[in-house]
Amino acid sequence: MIRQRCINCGKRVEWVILGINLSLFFVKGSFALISHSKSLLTDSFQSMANFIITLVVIASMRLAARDADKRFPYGYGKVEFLASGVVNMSLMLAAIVFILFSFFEMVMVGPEKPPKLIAIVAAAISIIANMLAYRYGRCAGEKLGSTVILANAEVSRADVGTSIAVIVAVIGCNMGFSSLDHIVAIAIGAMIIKVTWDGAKKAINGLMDVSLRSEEVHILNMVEDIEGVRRVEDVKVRLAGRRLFVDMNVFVGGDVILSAALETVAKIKNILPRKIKSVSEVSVQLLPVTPVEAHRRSPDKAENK
Amino acid sequence: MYIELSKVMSEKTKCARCATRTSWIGLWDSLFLAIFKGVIGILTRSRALTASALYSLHDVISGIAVLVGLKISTSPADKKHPYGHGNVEYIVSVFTSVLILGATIYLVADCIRIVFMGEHAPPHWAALGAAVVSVIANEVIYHFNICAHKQLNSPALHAHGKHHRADAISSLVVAIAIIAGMMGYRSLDAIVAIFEAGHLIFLSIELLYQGGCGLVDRAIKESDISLIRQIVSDMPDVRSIKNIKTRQIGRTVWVDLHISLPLNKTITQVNEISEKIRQNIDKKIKYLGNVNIVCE
Repeated sequence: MIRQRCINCGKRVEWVILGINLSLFFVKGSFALISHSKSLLTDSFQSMANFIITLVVIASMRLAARDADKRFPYGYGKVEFLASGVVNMSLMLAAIVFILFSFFEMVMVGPEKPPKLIAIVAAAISIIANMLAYRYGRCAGEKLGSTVILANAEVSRADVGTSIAVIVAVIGCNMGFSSLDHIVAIAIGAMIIKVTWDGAKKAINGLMDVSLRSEEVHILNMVEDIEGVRRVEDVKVRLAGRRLFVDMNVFVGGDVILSAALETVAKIKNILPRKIKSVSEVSVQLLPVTPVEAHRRSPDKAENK
Repeated sequence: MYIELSKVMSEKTKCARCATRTSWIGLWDSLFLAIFKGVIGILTRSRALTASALYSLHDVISGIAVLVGLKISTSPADKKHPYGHGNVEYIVSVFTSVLILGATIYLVADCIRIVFMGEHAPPHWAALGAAVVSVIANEVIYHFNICAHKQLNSPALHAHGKHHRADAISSLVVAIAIIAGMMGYRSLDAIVAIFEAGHLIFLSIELLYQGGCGLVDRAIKESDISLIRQIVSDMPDVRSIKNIKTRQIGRTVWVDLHISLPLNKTITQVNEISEKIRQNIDKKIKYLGNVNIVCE
């Protein structure tokens, strides 16, 4: 069971992160103007980007909580995958562009006047705030099993990395290593790409309805033990956000009458959500045991259409 | 008479061949123009030409999404993907529209900066040349498409043709902006770029929305659902329809049908009824993927 405290936390967490990002944008932006630090300015833009991403996340969570309607008969759960996919993809693109820019600047422009040390203060504030936001988001995301909150927490962590890079760059530039700024920036960009790649892969798997093998085997074994069930085939489990949809073909004796078979189905529908907590819908297709091939459209036929 | 008929037939097949070839040529043409205009636009710093290149890129990508959809949507379901691979088509269009949106927003920001700062790059002959090449190439392909459309009456070809026409017109505007820039109206380049980018943002958001809806399992058209409802309720044994859930995986339509049947039927009879329902739906609905019939 998910605790009530965690549910409340999940409702609040994105708003907290939203506030943190907006204030960080203003703090870093103003410090960047005072200290003439280019890297801090880029960092403040990243906070702005995080602010926008968090807005998308909030909107998607609102949408995902809606009930199924006529237009979307399976509910809006997959909006979470979609949002986390889009967020991760755009972040990855931003990181790639960021790396290219840093590289060209390093090669073409060369050393500039080092920024003032006051930039470090803003970067330190940013590190602490983002670290807290990351821990908070990660806790809520794991407890609620929400990929989108987790993806957004990763975004905060990536921001910690860039702020550390800013400190290293500011100190390094003042000590005379003028290209350190860019080298660190490229390394951070590579890290962001790795994190977002993993997140995007997860979201795409969800959107493609990738099968969940362990759940499928678990359900198959459970249902085959139920009285009246002769055989179970084609157990398909798909994830729509936080909810699980289960499809299966259950074989019963050919001479069993429908009312008896429906009792078996009721048993299945009763047991599954109790054993696996996220199961929200179970659809059981009843089939007779004897004519094995008659029950299902063959794949070749579907292809020829 | 016979000779005449065979001549007409060969004309028709020639047109069909021409049509498939035209769509391929259209794709390669857009790809070439995207790269050509993009490189020259960046080198000559003509923002309008760069926006026009993004426009061509958008064409390429929507073309590729269609091809990918045709190839992958039909590859059968496997163990890892029990519902098939149809959603790849949507994912391609979502990803690419995000890509184009990012590039376009960056371009708009850059143009606004230019207009306010007044840092206009001097226009270059190469940019004008690229724009003119784009106008001619797109206009030629438009005529091929329209010719094939008239012979074969295919709406897809007509839509493609109009797309290339629009691309030709936008390139023409770019060419005019560059000529105006040579005569001294230098801010026109950035302004044209902003308008083109605005249209492109609109198109990308539409593509993103359509792909997103598909990925979140939107139901099929209302009219198709009521058609299914009609077919099922016409079956003699079906007492009532509890629910019809549909979703589209790429091109294929998946249906979950919740019906109630007389309780004294045996499962063998239930299966026969289901099979008949399936066949009847299969006759009416194109690209049917699977029908799941659940008794309640």
